[in-house]
Amino acid sequence: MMMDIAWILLLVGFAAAFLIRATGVVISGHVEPETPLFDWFACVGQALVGGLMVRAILLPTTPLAETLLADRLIAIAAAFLMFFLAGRKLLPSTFVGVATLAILGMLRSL
Amino acid sequence: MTTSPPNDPWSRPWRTGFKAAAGVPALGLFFALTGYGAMTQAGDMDVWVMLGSVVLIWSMPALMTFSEVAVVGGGIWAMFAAVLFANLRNIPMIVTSLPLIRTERRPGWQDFLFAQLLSPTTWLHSLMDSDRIPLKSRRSYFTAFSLTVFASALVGATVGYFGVEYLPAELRPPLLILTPLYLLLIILSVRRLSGYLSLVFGAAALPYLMAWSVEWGLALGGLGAGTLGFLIGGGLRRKASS
Repeated sequence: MMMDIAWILLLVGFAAAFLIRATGVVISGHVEPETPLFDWFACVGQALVGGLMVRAILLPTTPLAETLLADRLIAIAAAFLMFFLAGRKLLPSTFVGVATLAILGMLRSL
Repeated sequence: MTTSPPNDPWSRPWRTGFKAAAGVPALGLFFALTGYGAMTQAGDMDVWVMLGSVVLIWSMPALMTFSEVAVVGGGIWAMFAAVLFANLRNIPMIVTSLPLIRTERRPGWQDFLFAQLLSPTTWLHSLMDSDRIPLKSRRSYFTAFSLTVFASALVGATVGYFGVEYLPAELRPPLLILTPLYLLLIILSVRRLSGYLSLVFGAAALPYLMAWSVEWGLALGGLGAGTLGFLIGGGLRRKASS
């Protein structure tokens, strides 16, 4: 039963995702990238995605909740520091964040 | 009639696109989706649903949204609205990348396929690299590029889903921060004040509004925070001066 619901939710998610992509295809060529409407869409998207990601980190519903909030904040700070100091490189910065959280967790379990 | 030099990489755009994506771009998607696989495994999602979500939804923000809404028990409307809004940023990506690769004026079925495969990684590369690629080779090049990172992401999600059990218990929770952290850093890569402000406002508002209502909190919070960031960040003023 639970699996059926998951598949239905997946198809609903696909429909929503495809609708957006199809909309993008249809209006491509008719909308100039450098317009206020274009920028507004980008801002709403960034607010949504950013908010969801912050929620996933600060109020996790997964085993990430087993880690201390302070450790998660330190890990984010370490990743951001690496990102801005080392030429905005995504992979090394992400790894620094994950490694920091892992090391802090291991130190606390000693 | 023109002929390609013997070592012209654009005579084989599929191969060139694959080689270009096989390095850091594919690795980035591999690790990003490893976190997604681990996260969905932790949330007891069926592996085929997880892989199906990667294939059908194929957008990290929307995948994270799908996972989050499914975990918190949101309904069909909540899922539709959440994925719809989380995918909004795909519109400008598609609108700005398709004109760079399209040789025909009207959209065709190939455009829908390309749009379905498009990821932020491919989008950024299309903006950066199109100038140096002959127009006739771009669609093949970027389709190969997209398929390569797509395949890498699928492998990463599978590894994350099954491999997380073999990791020491202390390492499992930290892996779950990988995907949201990676996406936050991608957003920070877009150097625009209105974008930064939208991120900050969204981060401040969404967690609280979604505690009130998952779907309405997400929709209203995103629209409100994005609009606020756009206005305070000078979205209108910037265009007026250009």
